[in-house]
Amino acid sequence: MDTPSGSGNGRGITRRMWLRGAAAAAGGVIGTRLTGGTGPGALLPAAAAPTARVPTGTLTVSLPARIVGLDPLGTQAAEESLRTAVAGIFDTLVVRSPSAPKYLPSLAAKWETPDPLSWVFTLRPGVKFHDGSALTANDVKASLQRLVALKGPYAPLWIALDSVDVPNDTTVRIKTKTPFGAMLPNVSLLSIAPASKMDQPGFFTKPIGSGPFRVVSYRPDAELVLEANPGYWGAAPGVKTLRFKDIPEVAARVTALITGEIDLTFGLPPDQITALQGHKDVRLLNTPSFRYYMVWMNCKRAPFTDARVRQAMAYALDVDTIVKTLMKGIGRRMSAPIPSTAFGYAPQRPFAYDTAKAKQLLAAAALPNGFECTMIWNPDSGPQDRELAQALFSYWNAVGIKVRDGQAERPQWLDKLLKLDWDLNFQSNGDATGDADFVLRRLYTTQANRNGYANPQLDQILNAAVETVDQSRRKLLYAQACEIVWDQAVGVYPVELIQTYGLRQGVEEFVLTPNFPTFETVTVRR
Amino acid sequence: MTIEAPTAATARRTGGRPGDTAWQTAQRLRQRRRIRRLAAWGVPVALFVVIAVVGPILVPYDPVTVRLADRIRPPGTVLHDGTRAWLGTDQVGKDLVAQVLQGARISLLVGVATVAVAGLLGLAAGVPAGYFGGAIDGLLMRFADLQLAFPSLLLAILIAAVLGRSVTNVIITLSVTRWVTFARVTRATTLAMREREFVTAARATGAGTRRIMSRHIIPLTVTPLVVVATVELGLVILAEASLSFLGLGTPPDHPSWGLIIANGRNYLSTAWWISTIPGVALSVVILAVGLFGDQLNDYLNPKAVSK
Amino acid sequence: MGSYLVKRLAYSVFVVWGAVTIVFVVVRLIPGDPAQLMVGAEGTRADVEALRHRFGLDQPLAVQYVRYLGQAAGLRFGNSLRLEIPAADAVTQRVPATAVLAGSAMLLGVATSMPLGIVAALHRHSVLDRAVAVVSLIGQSVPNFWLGIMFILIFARGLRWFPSAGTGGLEHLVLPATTLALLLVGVLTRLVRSGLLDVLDEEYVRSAYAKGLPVRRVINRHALPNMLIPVVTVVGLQLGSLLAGAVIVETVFGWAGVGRLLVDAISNRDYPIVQVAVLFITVGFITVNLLVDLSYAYLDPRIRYR
Repeated sequence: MDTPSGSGNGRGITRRMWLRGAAAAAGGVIGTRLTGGTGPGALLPAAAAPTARVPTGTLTVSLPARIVGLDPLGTQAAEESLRTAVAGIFDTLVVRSPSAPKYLPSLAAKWETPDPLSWVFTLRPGVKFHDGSALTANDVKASLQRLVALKGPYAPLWIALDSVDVPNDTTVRIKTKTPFGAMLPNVSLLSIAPASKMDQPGFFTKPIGSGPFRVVSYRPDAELVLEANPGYWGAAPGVKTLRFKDIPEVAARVTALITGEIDLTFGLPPDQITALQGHKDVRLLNTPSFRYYMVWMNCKRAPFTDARVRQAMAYALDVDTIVKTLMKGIGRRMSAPIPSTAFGYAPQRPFAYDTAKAKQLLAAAALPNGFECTMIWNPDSGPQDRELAQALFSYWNAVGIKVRDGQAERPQWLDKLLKLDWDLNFQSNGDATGDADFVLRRLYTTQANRNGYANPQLDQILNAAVETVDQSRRKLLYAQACEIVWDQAVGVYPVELIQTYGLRQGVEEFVLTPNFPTFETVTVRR
Repeated sequence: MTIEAPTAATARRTGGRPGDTAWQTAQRLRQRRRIRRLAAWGVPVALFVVIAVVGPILVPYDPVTVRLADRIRPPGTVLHDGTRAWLGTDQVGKDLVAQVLQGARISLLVGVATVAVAGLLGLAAGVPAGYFGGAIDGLLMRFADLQLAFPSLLLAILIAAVLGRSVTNVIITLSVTRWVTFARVTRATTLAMREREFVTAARATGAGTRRIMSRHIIPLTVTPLVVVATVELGLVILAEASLSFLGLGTPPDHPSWGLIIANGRNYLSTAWWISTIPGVALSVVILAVGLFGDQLNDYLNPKAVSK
Repeated sequence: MGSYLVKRLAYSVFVVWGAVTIVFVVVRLIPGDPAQLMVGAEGTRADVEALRHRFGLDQPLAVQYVRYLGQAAGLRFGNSLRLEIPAADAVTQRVPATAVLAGSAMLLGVATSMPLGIVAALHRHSVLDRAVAVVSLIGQSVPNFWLGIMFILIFARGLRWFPSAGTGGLEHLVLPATTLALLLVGVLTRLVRSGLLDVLDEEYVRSAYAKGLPVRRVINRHALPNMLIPVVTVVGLQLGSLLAGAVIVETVFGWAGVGRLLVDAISNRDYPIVQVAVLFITVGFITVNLLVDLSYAYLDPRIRYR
């Protein structure tokens, strides 16, 4: 749906991918994992393409946050740095296409839904883990069971799970209690680890997967070193060694990029990006992402029970100025309650910057002199969040809404958030699966009760959308849902984030995706 | 044998008093020089206090309103509304002059209040410990050792996380972590004073413990306390900056210098003025207070000239 | 000497126990539930309860404490709530890095402040004295994170003399150790200066001068060893502030040490790690101070321990 915007190289990669894809369709040659495949229903040829290249060189990457661990099935599974780090180590059944909300075969060669309650995945044959043992359907089952048992942040995605059957080594049948249209997005987050080893203590300090890279060493907080997996089933990665270096302080990270100590980084504030633009050794690429900023109103608390008050708050914001000044290069105006990169997005009528209208609505809601309230948030939610929060306070103050700054540490913020003990909540959010279901159904139904908004009509729409496997019907339903949430101003959605990457010259073929980045396609030319 | 000044006039001319010996004249001169030096080093400190108190009144700080179109303007730029930002604007367009003045007030408040509270705590603990010795002293020393063994910043993190962010809580946090130095100093002074003749004499005349402590001992602890206080003031202000770096310092609507510096640290290579200007102000003040403390120490403890 | 050591050890055990107990209680007082944090915003109440049960957090405080003491006596400190590896391992992996950083900073600080303090004392009240005072106070009058970032910008980005961040060998150590050392230089210089001044006033020094011995010999032979005692004392005491500074410096320079781990563990309410880290720090602190006290006997023959 979205082609990566930004510099020419981004578009060039897409062209190359189309070419590879066309070649694949014609001659059965596989390019990278991300382009492989002709979708469900066709079996792919065996691995090892004639155009396989030899991995050379070292790529050193610094992620914006620490890699807290290497367990994609446990309690830290949702941490972006962790997912980026393990993406090269483990495979999943399917992967999301970087440029469209489509799912491409990875470990699963094909899949089908024989009945509304079952999904059957057929694994490609001949896949081996890094230690040489074969990857079988049993490993898939064990991985899923572990994910659910450890009650990490992805476990709630599988509430509808009924059972997992393994009729033979290459077939996995996942049964759900109710029809489940979002199976592919969920499964794209399920990393497959070896069943026989995953429960051994210390396994995830040097884990074994089936991915294009295997772990050489891991010094927590310092460095993770991966090397190309010679027995990989897909195309070999472009670099022999992939190093993740941990540099938490932004100034130090940018310096490291400039001096060449690292080759790639991202998560840079706009002013650092501007500073990098002049450098001859560094180029910048950007891509829309799944992340966005939002402010919720607690719809169970006065005065936010009145939709007019919520809408007034939307009219009070000059989003265009915010985007132009604070978010230059890292964000753009949002036009729906979910980011434009997600499946199910439908653009809505924007709220113009109209302070007169805002005051009018407040007066109509019997609050001509405004009111006071508190906004809770955690100051590590994302780039420019402090500045954005200050801007929000300022604009609301101008129409008489005095907002107190209730920033708190993450555990305290989370506590208050979940107890619904707040007036306003500001946070960044990410659509991890790239599917509207992940955000809309889990956060906006009456049952979810995450922001006090209760609308039976919306519930009906969202439940219907997840229970059908007809994707075009889902799209229509989500469009309706977007309209309701947006027009009712359940929250204000000012900015969706654009991810900017800084790469040194010589780093090529980096694929831009709205999701967390992966590095197996990257080559380094010195 | 002493040498007396020839006439009263000569004595006055050389700086002494009529009847002074040469040595006494020299002493008096030295004393006056010390007082002058002390006053000279005290001027910057006094200036700082005046600025901190009066400044925010003259240039009030609006913590809420942002001016996004004027963000990150270098010092001296003319803004959209025609005013000139002499020290530049910060990352959301707020004028830095108002912020730095407000920061002066907050930093001064936090520094002075912390030192006062910690000093009082130290006094309350150190004097009895030094005077009575024994079990009380033992208890104090163990307690102090316990606190010193635990890094002060981490203690501050824990307290700040429990109490939340406010100027008062920052003062409490920092006082709790710094009272030990003051306690040690007062204890040492008390120990030294305890055996002096005037205390024994006072006891012989039947003066009660409280009277001895309040009349004789405590006043003598004040001078070393004040000297330590000048050093501690700087350390407290810096400790608050560290807390702000970790997100546990004063709240955003009462910005201390430490908070402004911490918030501006990502802009050091692009908008250096946000961190550096309050940083320079902070350093100057701490240096001034520290050097004043040095002078005070020299003044209060004059040593015989060596070499 | 023997009974003194025994007394000190017993006393040290008490201090360690005290510190660990205080931290145990305080860290659980901080609002915020680690289990909730891990489950995230999407989990159910049941999930959180299940996790709390797995970590033993649903027991009353006293029970948790007793269990903890029991396990600690057997040197088992539990698993990190967040990292899912033994807490002790997480800490021991990082202690060497912090020790190297703190140790280098200490050495650098002492090595810098000795000559500065001596110069200042010998040229008391001159311009040189004042200059030394100002220079030595620099570390104590700028925020350490600001100094660290300035170093990175100047020496790493500008001059390209050192790498900007990361844990490693000597070249990675220089900038962080210097930043940390500057904190000490002010205190130590002042101490060296006043200590030397005190000693120079003493009778035996004056008589050494009177004998006609050169200044340098007087200082090295007589003054310095006696002056070392307060310096060594302060060095032991400054360990606490050094560690506090290390927390900041480790974050700014990406140095994989215990300080950063501890701050993050507090933020994440990772109780086992906080407890083990405090244990290590306290034990380290006490050991250093014990060594300091024992060194008195070596430095000053008048002191003997009974």
